[in-house]
Amino acid sequence: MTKFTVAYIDESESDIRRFQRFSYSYFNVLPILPLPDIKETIKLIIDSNIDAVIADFDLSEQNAQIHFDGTDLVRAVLKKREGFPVFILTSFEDDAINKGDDVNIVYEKKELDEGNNFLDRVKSQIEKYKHQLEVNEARIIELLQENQKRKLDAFEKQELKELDSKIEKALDKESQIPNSLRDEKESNELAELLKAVDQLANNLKNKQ
Amino acid sequence: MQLPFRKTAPTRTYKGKEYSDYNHYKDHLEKDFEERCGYTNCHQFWFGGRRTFQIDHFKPKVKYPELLTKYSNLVYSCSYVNRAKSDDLNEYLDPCDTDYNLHFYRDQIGHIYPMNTSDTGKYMYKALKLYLKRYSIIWMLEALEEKMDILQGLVDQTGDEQAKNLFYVITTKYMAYKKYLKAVQ
Repeated sequence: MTKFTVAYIDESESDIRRFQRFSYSYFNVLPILPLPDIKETIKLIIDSNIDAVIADFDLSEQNAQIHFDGTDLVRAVLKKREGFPVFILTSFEDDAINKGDDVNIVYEKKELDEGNNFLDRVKSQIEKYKHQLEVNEARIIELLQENQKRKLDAFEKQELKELDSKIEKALDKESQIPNSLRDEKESNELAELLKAVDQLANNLKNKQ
Repeated sequence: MQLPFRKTAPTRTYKGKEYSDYNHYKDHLEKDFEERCGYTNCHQFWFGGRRTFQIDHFKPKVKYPELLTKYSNLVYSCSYVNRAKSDDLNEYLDPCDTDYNLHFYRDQIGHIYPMNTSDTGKYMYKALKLYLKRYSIIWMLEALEEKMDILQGLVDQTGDEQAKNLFYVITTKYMAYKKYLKAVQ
């Protein structure tokens, strides 16, 4: 079975090696050392083909050039990819929980020494996330196929719009189209305008 | 009615030196792909410009590390399809080497569909999520742009009142969309 790939972000190379050793049988680990510029660090993470992000909370402990922490990074990832599996590891759990938005993504580093619970949780979260995407995808394709055969009812149309938005946001939340543009009425109006120009062009051509 | 998926195909023209960092090819890819995503044919303008476009490794770098920096293996792509494709090792159609119009078509409002005769097209439609509404919207906005040009020509040639009115309606609509989409980026 294919192993999932997780990005592990830590300023400590020894901690990165430790994490790689610890999770070797579970994941392919893509180690990422934070760069002084948070935007560049986020770009490194986002441009990688990964299934989850695990970030150390305190990224400045061994590198004074870093002025952001793990919660800043995972928040930025979630801003770009809604629902993406993200985790924070910390030696100071309370600090991370106070700063983080979601207590369910913060874990203590000491858990790494206490068995595979943390890795199981990461794996299960990735599987859950992927499963939901697959369910959404199967349903949207079903609705789109139905739409070619018959007129969808109001509930189905609404469901189609919501699924389209969810799938889009999971890939890139920042460049998503406004929800109002997903409306069938809006599409039809545009299509009518396009048709009207063609008709007018033909009419004028015939007159000449 | 089936409309062509795209009007022109991208061509990889870069013949210069091989860079050790594939990101250095971005200018060349942007030009060769005419600022469009190789897989969806959408112009980068509607995504917030060049910064949101990515470089896809047609054959995934994880399996083909020897192709990591080969220009012939790179595709200029939007973030949506690049993330959806990820490291998928299944068969895809190269946008430069394949006539996509034989594998995909569009309906009258720009939705993308795979041709019934193309199994790879069907696979890509699902894997790259080519069914997303955004591709239809962007196609229609580009069509509006073209129609604006046609109308402008008609107005200039004939001075027709109906053409003038329609030009006004379409331009207003187009500008509103443009503003709306730029506002969310």
